[in-house]
Amino acid sequence: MKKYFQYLKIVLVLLLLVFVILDLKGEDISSAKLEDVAGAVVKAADISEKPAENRMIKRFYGLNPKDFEGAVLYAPTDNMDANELFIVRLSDMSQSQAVEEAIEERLQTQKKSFEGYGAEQTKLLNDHILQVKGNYIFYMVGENASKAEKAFLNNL
Amino acid sequence: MGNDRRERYERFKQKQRKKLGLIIAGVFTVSVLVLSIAGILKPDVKFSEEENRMLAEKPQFSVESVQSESYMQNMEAYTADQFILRDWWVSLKVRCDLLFGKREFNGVYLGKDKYLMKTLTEPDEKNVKANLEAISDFADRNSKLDMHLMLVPNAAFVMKDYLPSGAPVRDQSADLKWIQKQLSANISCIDVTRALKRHAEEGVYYKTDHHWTSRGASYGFEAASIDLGIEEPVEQYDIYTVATDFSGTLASTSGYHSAKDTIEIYVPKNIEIQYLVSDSDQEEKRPTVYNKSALKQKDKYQVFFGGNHALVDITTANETKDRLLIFKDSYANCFVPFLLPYYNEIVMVDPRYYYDNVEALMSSKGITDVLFLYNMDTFLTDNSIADVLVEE
Amino acid sequence: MIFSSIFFIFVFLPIMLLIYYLTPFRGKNLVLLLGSLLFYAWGEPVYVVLMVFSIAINYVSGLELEYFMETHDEKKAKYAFITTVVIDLLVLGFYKYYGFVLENLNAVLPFDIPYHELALPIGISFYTFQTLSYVIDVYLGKVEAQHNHITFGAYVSMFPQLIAGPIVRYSDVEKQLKHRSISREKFGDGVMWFLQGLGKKVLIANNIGMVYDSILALGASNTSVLTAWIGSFAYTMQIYFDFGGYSDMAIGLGKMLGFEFVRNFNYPYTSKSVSEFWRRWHISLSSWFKEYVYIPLGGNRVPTIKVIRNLMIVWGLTGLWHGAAWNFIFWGLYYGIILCLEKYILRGVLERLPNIVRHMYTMVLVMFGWVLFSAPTLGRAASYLGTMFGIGGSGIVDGTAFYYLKSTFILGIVAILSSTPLIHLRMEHMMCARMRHRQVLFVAAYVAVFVICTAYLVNATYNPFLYFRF
Repeated sequence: MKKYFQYLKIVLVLLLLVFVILDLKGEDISSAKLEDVAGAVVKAADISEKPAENRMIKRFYGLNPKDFEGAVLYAPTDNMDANELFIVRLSDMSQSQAVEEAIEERLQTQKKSFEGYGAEQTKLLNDHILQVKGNYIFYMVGENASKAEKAFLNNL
Repeated sequence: MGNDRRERYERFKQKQRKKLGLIIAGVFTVSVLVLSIAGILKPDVKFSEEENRMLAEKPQFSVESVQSESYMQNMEAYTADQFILRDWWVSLKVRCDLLFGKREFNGVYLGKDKYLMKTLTEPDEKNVKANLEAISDFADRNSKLDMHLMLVPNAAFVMKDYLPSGAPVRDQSADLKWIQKQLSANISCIDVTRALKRHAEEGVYYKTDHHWTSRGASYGFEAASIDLGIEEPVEQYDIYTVATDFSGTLASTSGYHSAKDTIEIYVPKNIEIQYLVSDSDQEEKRPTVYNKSALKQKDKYQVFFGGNHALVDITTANETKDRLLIFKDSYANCFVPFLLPYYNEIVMVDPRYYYDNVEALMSSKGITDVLFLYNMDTFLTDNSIADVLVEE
Repeated sequence: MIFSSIFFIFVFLPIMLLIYYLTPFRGKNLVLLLGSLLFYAWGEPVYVVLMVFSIAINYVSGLELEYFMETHDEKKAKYAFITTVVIDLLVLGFYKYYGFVLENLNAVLPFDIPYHELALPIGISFYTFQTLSYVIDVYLGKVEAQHNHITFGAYVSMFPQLIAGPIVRYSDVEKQLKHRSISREKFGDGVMWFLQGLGKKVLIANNIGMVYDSILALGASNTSVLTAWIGSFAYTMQIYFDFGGYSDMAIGLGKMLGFEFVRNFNYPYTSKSVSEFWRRWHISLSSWFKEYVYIPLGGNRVPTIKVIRNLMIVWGLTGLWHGAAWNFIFWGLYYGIILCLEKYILRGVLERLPNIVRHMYTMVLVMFGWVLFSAPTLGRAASYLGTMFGIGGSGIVDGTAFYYLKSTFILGIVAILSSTPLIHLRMEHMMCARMRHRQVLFVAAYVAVFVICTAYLVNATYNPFLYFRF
């Protein structure tokens, strides 16, 4: 038995290598269409409003939707509303960080707006979900965020 | 001989440590068990009045939430938030802090006379520059309008003498001077710092909240009225106290609850002003800027206009053609009541929530005057003014 | 999950201990292993896999080495040993230094190599050093290979020391893994250690740490000389009580489980020279480097020039071990240079100086070291050190300095006293007092620490842990 340990070690090291490579590679690029993903998410999140205009993406996130393969935003309709859904399909993986930062900034702004007086909104914002999956980025603030996230992941 | 004694002492020490260790361990074990079991049995609390926030709820288990670690983080937050007698523990912590000589809690200074004052934040330079540029451009585009920028300094700066001695604080006068230099000649700054400083001891800010009081706003109005072109400002007011148990946001963030504030309302003496108010959240017109139901809730400052709205529209029966547009934060809410007698219409826009076209709004309302009214701290960290002023 | 959290003290620990105590002895290591994996996965749900790999590879490697050594196949044994050490170091190096290396390469190279920043798995530096000690000692024949994979897994993953040390060498716990006594008295002792550590971390380190953070945030131009010194004093105290407190908690938890770990700190701030400081600070790390790097390189039994080389290697590595950043490397080399100077030049001088001067000399150098260690960038470290000498700051003393002086004063005194054996001795006196009420006072002190710590943890807005990064 003992003399096989050296081979066992080799197998383990190979497995480790696979793990590291997978870890390094990060997420796969998904070829799912943005409309399909967004459609499924909207259904799961039970959103009945229409998506916001593109200029709102610029306004809220400082991002130009034209820079991406696509982006869809469901924005709060009034000032006591914190619900928000934002899905971006990147055209280039290098955009990932910039988008993530823009979302973080938006989140901080929203938290500051509601801090101290919108306890419920603050909680929703604290419970936000931000998922970066390869070329897709998902951000949601709202009651059904985890359901929506599941739909997002399943439809990539 | 000495060695022998030392050895005996060592042995005695070991014995004592064992004995007392057992007692300590007993107390520790019992209290851990009692507290955690009590925590499980106790029904979850949704909202903490003291901290003015929703407490964490039990997270739902799912593969995604475990993978992203949010399940674990929420679980830890949940156990701490739903800990038995949470409010008591929090107040114990603040008392210990005081004992240690600490005078700053979560970014709030505890000053003389139980004054709580928010520490001033470092400006967000990129956004400040963008905002100032946008304001200048906006003033140049609308050079026919009477345009002012009024930045109200914050308590920590105005009431420096009340701060724990030597506590570092930003020089907001220098900030104002710098801002003035950046702006176009078509907009002028209104400086109310001196007026507030002169009356600093009269309670121009709330002790437990980051806003200025109606009294502070009245001094601010007195100082600003000339700049605003108001010729005969009202000098006498009836002052009504509407709340005596206001505990504001600073009390919540600091956890220091020893002081309570009074909210006052200033109503011009001997003048009847007729006006109607509507806002983007409540279209229905009503004859008052005050929202009495707010006095029953935690944040009583919302008695002014019922809080912030994207758009507030006040139409009056005053015989004047002046129509004022205000870009504002919540500091304006208790200030605007002082402006009521002098305008035909006042439109308040909160750029943080207002997403429509401003130019269209201005022409439809026939605006003649524009006022930007912010507290300095918010202004220096705001990132929404430039967006709302953008030319479309 | 860190020890100083409500969840750990009131949920994880009681459940863990309950199951552990109820399990018969032969099952205890398994409970310990599973509990520790859960503990680790709580903070690293993905990288727990990495740790399991590390455990498996080193376990197999130990047996592999044993086999080659039994069959006297020295060549293969050597080969197997080297590959395992290289694998361990590669994993550590890859996860810890990959981003750093590429960042610096990109800065030098004319083109950019794109890379995907990896998160640092918690505690990887600690557990890798533990597995290394095991493999090396097995190869050198100092210990026998562990045949039981559960026992070995429990050794590597043991939750008390998993994420922040002390680095427990296999040889130190080999016997305890097989047999250890678990008693009420030991549990009591463990609780006392744990509470002592909790108090150090929560009451002293967390509170005094805020002072340094806000002084650092003032910016160099707003910092007077006095403010700068208060700030570096605050950090000096924070890091000791943070890390020392955590080590105490680990020792306490170890005792509750029946283990005895070696002391990691021995009043380092009472040292009279920098060499002494390093014999008292993070003992398990410096002795690891001494045993496995310095001595194999020849130690000090080689010509002076080589001793200096060895010292610089060890201290460069010590710096690098603390993190993938230039600060840490320079911080390590800074100590390397001081230790060389002390060894060859200053020793004679120091011995003739009065104790108080030697203390001051040591502490000032240590404080400079911590500035280098803690500043976010090398540039900021330089500007901060400048303000300590009045360069580029706002004068010698200003109002701000008094504010910080006042708000740190009581805590600072408490911290200074607790960093010497004084309080400990007073407590022992109390413990051994004949009078009943003094013993009651002794117990009350521990209970009070527990109650107040709980209050701080319930309200934990500020509970960072400095050594998490390593």
